[in-house]
Amino acid sequence: MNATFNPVSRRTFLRGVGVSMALPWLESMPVWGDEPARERASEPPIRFGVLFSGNGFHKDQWWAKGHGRQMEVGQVLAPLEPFREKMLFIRGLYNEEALKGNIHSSQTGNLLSGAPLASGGEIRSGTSIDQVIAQRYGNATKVSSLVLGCEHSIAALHKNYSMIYSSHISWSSPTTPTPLELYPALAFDRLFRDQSGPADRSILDSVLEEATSLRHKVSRSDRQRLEEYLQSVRDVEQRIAAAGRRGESQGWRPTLEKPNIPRPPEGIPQDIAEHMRLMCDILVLGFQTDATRVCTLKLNNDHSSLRFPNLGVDYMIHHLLSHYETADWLKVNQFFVEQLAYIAKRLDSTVEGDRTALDNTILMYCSSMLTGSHDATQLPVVLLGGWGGRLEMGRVLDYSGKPNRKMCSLYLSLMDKYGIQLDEFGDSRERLAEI
Amino acid sequence: MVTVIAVAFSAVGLPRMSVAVPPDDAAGGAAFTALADEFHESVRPLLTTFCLECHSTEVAEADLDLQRFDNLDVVRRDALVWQLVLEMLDSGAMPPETAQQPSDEQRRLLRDWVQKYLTAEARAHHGDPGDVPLRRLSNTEYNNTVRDLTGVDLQPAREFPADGAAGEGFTNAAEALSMSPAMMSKYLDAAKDIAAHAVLLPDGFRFSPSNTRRDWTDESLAELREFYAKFTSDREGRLPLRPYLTVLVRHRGDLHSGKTTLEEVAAQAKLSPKYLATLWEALNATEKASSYPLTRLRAQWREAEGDEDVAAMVADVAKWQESLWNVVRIGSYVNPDRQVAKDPEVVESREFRLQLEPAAGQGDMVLYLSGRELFPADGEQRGYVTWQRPRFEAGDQPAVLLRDYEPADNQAFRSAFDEDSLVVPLGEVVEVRVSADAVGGREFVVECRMSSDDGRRVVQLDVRSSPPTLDAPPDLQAPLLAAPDGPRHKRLLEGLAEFRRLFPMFVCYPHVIPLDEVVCLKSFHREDGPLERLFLTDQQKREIDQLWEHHRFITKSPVVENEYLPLFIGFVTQDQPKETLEFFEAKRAPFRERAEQFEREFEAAADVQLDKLCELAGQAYRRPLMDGEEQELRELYDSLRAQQVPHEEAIRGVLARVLVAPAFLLHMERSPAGDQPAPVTDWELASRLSYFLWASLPDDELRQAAGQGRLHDPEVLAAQTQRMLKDPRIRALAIEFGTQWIHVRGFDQFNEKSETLFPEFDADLRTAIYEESIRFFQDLFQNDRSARQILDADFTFLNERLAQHYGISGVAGPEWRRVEGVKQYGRGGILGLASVQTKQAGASRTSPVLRGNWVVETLLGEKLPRPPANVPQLPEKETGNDGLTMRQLVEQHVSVPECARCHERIDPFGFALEKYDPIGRLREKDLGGLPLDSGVTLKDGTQFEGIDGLRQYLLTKKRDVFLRSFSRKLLGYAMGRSVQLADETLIDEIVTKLKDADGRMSDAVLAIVQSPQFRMVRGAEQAP
Repeated sequence: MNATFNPVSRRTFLRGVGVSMALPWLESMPVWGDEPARERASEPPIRFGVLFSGNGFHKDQWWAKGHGRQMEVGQVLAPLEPFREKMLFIRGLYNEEALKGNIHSSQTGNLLSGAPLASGGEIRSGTSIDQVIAQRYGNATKVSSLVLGCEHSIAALHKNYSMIYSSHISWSSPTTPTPLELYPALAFDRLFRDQSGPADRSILDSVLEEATSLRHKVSRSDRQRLEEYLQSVRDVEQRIAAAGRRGESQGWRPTLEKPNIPRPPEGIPQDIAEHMRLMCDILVLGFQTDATRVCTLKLNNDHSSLRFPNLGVDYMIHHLLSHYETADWLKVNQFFVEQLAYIAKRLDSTVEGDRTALDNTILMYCSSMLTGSHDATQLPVVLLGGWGGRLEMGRVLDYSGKPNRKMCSLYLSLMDKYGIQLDEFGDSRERLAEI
Repeated sequence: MVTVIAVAFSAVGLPRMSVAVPPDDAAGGAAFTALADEFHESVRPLLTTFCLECHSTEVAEADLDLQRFDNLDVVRRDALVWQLVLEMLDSGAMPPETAQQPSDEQRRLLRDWVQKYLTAEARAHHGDPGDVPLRRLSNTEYNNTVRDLTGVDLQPAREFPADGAAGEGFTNAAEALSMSPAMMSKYLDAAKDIAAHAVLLPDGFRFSPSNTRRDWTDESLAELREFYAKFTSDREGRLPLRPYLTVLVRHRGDLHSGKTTLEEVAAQAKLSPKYLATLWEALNATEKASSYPLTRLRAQWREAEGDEDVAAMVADVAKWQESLWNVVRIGSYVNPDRQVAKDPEVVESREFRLQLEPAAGQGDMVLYLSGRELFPADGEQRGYVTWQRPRFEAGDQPAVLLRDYEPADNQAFRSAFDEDSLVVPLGEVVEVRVSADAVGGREFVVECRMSSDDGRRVVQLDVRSSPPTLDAPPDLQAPLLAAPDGPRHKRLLEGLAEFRRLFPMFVCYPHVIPLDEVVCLKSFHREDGPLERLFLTDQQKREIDQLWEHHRFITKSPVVENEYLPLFIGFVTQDQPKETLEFFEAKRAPFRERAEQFEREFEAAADVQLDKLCELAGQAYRRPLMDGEEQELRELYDSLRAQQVPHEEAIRGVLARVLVAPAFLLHMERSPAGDQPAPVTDWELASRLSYFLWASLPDDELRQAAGQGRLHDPEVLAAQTQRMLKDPRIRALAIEFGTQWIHVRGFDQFNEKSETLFPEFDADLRTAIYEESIRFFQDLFQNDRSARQILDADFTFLNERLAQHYGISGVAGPEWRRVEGVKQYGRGGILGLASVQTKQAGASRTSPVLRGNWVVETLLGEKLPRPPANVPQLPEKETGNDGLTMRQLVEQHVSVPECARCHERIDPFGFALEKYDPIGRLREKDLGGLPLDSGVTLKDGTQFEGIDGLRQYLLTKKRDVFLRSFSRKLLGYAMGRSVQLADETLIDEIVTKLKDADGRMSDAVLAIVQSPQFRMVRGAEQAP
């Protein structure tokens, strides 16, 4: 072995540091095992799922009132009726920055971060709540987070904003939209197939070394991009190191050891219903097997071009349908909400101790505008599940007209529950007291 | 609410321009002094009066604070804010109608100052390369780079998450190309997958479309077979004599007279010059003595005239080949060759038997006994042949001697016999006539030998029931009477050997895989000695040797056969003699040794494979490897081997490592020290050029220019650019720039039409429509069309499907062709592309607003504010709208004054295109059968009609605006960033060139690649 390069010793170094590998790029990242307090007990972990659909909803039929079993819901939410007691309907929240550009993409790219969006051909948002949680706890599971989509993103600028914002709500850093996985088979592989070969670690070590040596050779502005590269390599390396591990809180085992459905067929299903269903299955499977605890599923883009021949609505694309409160628009809304209901139903039939997997999950369903007419002054939000029974569900919360009604306040509250206490997030420094 | 038209721009996040770029020249300095004074005296007061109510530091409506600009220095730190101010003034959006309005004079003063200031700023920063963050390859670049690096179009990014657009709206823009763990994970998997396509060879490696040894074997087999097929089209590899004889006969005269040469004839007929010459010489050779069968063949050759004679010769040769070659089995290593030389049997005596089967009613039967000598010597005494005891046998019955057949009184007959036998001189035929009644059903039997002293002769004897032709060639399948060591026998054998040398039955074994045994031990059979000897040049010999050597490496046949041997032995022991078993048992040791030897060779190739790998790395990194990089790759190999990773996997590992290296995945450029821009290196320039034009890495020629340090020479750079524009890889520019510019990239996947209304809008049609757009742009660049043609081309590219869609007749078949004179069908130029018209329409109806917006934003480069909320609904179908066309509905819709303000600008352009239906077909009536009107009047009073009018308007009144918009986009694409203020002078320059009547696409491309922007990079310490 040559003296100038010794991958074995480097490997040993990494092993010596062990799984903690205090890596500089995420100072907040804890060592493995440093999980939220409650998970040290023999209880299942809390999963976080975000579902998104673009262009808002039928505004007359997006409502809920009453409590628990007595709760009444508008027609858009009809598919969620069986889960009224596990549902939190929130009205009136908004995102300050989303009001600025005032066009689809500019109110979507920051939905989960509340960050200002760069225009004019630049791309910059903020790290989104799902990724903050994933970066904090993702190492507990094989895959830190799963970001899925059901519609191709559009490569164009629209009114001076990149359409990247329309198709990405999850951002792992202010300049990095988390790529969406559209292929059900590849999403499945990401959770369940260990592709790492014997040479992988050495390969990654070797390129890490090369990239590190380049740090002082590039310009200041390039250094940040190089850092992104380094982080990405380290992340993959870590995933390989963690392959075979599964998230195990002491004494708790996931209900499923391995997937109970076959690997989906290659390619993207022609039928949108089938595509969405497969992605929902994968989300559920990720939670059931504890292969991941964070999943963001973007059912379509804001500014979506999907048509729905399966519903007999083929004459108009989703985006244009959204402009008018028609019966077909309602039908399409319900179809989307059915996806959420399906996930809830699957999770609710998975028993984990004296609760169900749904009780141990927070599913957040949202859009970047309340209605198709680009009205982002209040955002549609529904939470499903419960914090292992500790979050009071079966309620309707209306923040309309209240001083503290920011989406980011909701995020701060949710992150609190995860033990991530931040002073501020996006445009907010407050919590929502009721959450 | 101030206005219904909200400001579409946020000042937050506008790219900031560095003030530290080039120092202002003296004139610039003076200009800024004047601007500073004006700002202080007149501009700032205007701002205070008309703008600061909303855009003060405190209120900062739309995040815009104009109050902080209290002198020109502050202004100059944020030049882009002033671009925004200019846009707002020009669009009339600001100050809002509800606010206090400046007088026309004041407005003009403010506007002119901002314009003047921006121009001065642009000049001052002219040539600033701009900030282009380090970016990864786009998915297209990654696909193309891998294709050009491996020679195989693997499309590894096929299922990658799609790239977003940034900068000027292109997917190659640095802003959008960030790296993420999810991408890195895809890159690693893709790298390993690409490496799995590497086929290791003794002298390096190549890439295959497949990643299984089975497929590589098939590819290699195909190569071998293809090689052989170049020489013989016969499935079995027979000598391809006919074409050679044909041309020799045809050109015999000219060849003799020297009018043509064998080389010329061979080249013309695509035949091997080597065999043609060999054959020519052999056929024309002067014989010292006659020989079989060549003498005869030469005689035929001399007389041969036409195809029939050639056919006769070919048939004769085939007959001789049948006699003189044996074909044996080769599948089990028992026989080394399939084709084995066969000489006629030599005997001292021979017995003939002939069954006599007369036809019904036949009276007599005639038997002919003949003997003739091969190579009789002149003047030699005649030899005699003895036919012993000719007789008629019939099973157990006593034989009837021929001598006794005739009545006893036929003395003449009897006297011919010596005892029971006939003694006859060679060359004479004995004719025996017997009655069918007497001998029918019997067998005629005779033994024969030469007279005792005639052993030197070579004699062919024959007994038959039809008259022999004594000058026919001897039957070499039958035994000859001769002394084996006799000189004449030797002479015969030499002649036969010469024939076989010239006319092997097979020249090669094109199956390569033995087909003749049920169970083969031998994986592959090489038998191409005759081909090599008679046909191949030295170069070709090396080629076929190398193919076989590669084949052995790919198939690992020595290892495979060694592993298979025990099983094979198990098979052959069944019902086979002991000797067979022993034969194969004895093979165990040599087979094992052969396999071990192969393994050693296989691993010994590591050195040369690593050499090639490092070469490939240099290509992949788009620059020569730096100190230590090569060593690092070799050490990675060693370390993998030390971890017990097998050779092949270790090589693949190193290959995968190269493919995830930052130097491969990222557009790495060194930043010069300091805060001033400096030229990029020649290697970096080569990459900028090839990714601009080809979205791929530099090819050999470009690398050579870079390696020689000549590329920065403007002439060399121009020549390379011109060369690359002509290359088919320019298709990448057509797709990545062209179709993306007009918003139709990926149209083949565009699936947003009502299937009920437009069932014909299927994948085939979408693909065809997309292909037209790509080909149109490719043609513009590749054939260096004038910029005017972007709009004005009277040609397009069609196949049958698309021509049908367009209603253009006379285009048959799926292949693409350029079709002229298409304006009459409403085609030609980007306005005539179905892709554009279809994309800018709804699922069930046209959308004049979308089409108009496309013209305004994409072609004229104007910025429009976003539409207000709660726009009234338009019906989604063209039918059932109370007799109103879509145009009428839109006109009604925008009669609201606050809508009209923008729609007046947009809609007329869309109305002009109303005669294209939602999937781009020309029509006179809408889907509801209402007649369509495409005549329009613009806000400024300009009137025109339809696509022709719009085209003319854009080519005349809006020529400079259009060219500017195009140039801006091309520059943005080339640079991978947004166009900035400092680029304005370059854009001016490009527009000036393009508006010249002869301004061509290459003028724009050259202006860009030779600009300081393209050739320089910002300093490492320069502010972003």
